[in-house]
Amino acid sequence: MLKLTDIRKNYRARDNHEVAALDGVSFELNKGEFVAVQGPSGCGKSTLLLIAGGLLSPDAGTVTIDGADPYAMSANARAGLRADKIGFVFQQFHLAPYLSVRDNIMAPDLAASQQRGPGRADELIKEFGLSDRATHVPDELSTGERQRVALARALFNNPGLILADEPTGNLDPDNSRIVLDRLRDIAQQGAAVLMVTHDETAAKAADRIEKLREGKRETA
Amino acid sequence: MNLWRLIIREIRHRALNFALGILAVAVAIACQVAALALLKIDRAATREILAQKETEVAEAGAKLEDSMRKIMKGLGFNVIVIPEDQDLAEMHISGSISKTMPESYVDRLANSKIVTVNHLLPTVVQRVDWPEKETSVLLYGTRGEVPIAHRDPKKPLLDAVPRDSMIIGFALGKKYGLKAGDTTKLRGIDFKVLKVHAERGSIDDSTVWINLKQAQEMLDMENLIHAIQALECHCAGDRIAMIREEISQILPGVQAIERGSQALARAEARTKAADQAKASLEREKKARAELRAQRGRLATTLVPAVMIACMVFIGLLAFTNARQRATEVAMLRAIGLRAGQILVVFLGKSLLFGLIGGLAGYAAGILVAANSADAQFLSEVLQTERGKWLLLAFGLAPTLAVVGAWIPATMASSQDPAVVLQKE
Repeated sequence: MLKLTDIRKNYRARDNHEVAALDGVSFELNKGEFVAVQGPSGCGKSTLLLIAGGLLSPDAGTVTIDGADPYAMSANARAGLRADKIGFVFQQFHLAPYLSVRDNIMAPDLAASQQRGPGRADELIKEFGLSDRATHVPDELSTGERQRVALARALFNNPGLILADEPTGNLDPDNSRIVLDRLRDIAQQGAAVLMVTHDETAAKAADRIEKLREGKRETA
Repeated sequence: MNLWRLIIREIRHRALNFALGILAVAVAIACQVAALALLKIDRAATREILAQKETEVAEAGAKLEDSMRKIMKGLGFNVIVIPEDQDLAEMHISGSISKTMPESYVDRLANSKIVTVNHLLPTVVQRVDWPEKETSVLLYGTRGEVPIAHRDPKKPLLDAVPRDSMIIGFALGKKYGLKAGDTTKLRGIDFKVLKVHAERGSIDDSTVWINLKQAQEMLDMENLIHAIQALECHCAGDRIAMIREEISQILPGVQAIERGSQALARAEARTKAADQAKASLEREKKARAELRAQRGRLATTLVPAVMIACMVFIGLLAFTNARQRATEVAMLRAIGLRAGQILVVFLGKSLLFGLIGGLAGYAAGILVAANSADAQFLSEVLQTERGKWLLLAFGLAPTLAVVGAWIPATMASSQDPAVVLQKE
């Protein structure tokens, strides 16, 4: 589903110095796999996730998502690929503060090539136990509920690839367990799940752990 | 889920930002509509005031014309055409004229295209003895006015005196006890007194008017006359020069003399007053035109300045909004929205507050105009201009809002979502 080959990404530091965020990282993620990328802060985990999600172009190397290279596409085609094939989950949830739970979950419908409508949203609301919160806005939700809304939103278009950036970073253990269980379920249902985390407990929930240190992959 | 739903929800969430956008557009449009309305109202009011003044001047002019006509008539014949070789000193001293000219001259004058004089009266005038009364009088022979061929006939100033009749001046009537209906002898011929003039305080008081033919026979002046009396026209400029010029072209060998009077001075004063009234109207027109131009200049400076200020304010509002929504926009891009859709999200909001602001601005502009101008003129102007101004408001307001928000919206739509998401 996702193939990263010799990905390199450098950032320019304030002193005009080039810093390697990713230095020749390669790995593959298949359908039905739940992989955790673990490493300390600043090791390039989030950069890897953004590159894998078609949001950040690498300096070198190739990315293939379901056989297509997003960086060989036009910006609009790449956006279309993200809409149809990728679901994002962020540590800060990034829910639209003015949309209800139902509307936040349905937001991917704005971009997807196939409209799924409120029926799909209600299905996910039920599945994530948010029925009594459907009309509430994010400010009226608990942290765990917000992350469940973010997860439901990521699944709205039935994407083949889920990219989760520290999805349990702001959650208590109970809510963390719920989210991790859901991610494992998603993988078992056939999607590929790539989760970056610095939390060892969270990483252990994955089928496989890829470790990153100073922009390089370490074999587990 | 569609973009309009997203836009409406965001508007409800950030109502103040939206309300400020409406306010900015409304101020700009109100300013434009009020300026247009006030200029139009001013034009309509000026038109009406000037029309009223013009009517007043025209009415005064008509009254003046009438008054002038009466004055000129009252003035009597004030131009006298006499032979060129007539000694004027003799004429002024004795009141009589010794040189003659053919009577046919009056017909030549009447049949010409003359415009500077009216009421042509051929006369003989000579001081003669009245032996029966042992006195001398000024004898006038007159046959009545000769109508000018190319003009409409006018009521004569002086009627013809029938044969064997006479009209006498006040002093003669008083001195010899003559009154209308009496019969008296003049140089052996019996005359019936038709009328005794009221006192005029001039040589007329010692004058006798008889039939021209009879006077010519009496003075042995067959087909000859001494003078043609006339009434000058009421025309501007050096009248006597114009009269002389015109008469000399028709009758060579004559001279024309103008006889001034208080009435003439009065007529001239009135003419001057009429000229002043016209000049005052012209000054009023000029002052109004200058005031209108000044207001127009102010409007052409102020309105664009307000427009630009409002557009900048809208830009700042959009910029603030875009900054507040940076993470949300990055998330929307991450889930697959294209840059063009993000642009629509921002500009769609601007379009909405532009339309609402346009309507509010139009209403506010009309209210401002209503408070600053006469309601009658506003209603008149609205009847013809309402459609145009509404169209202008609804065309200009969304354009203003969209153009004002364009740069921040473009910046938001083209921001790199990775940069924002990495910061979070």
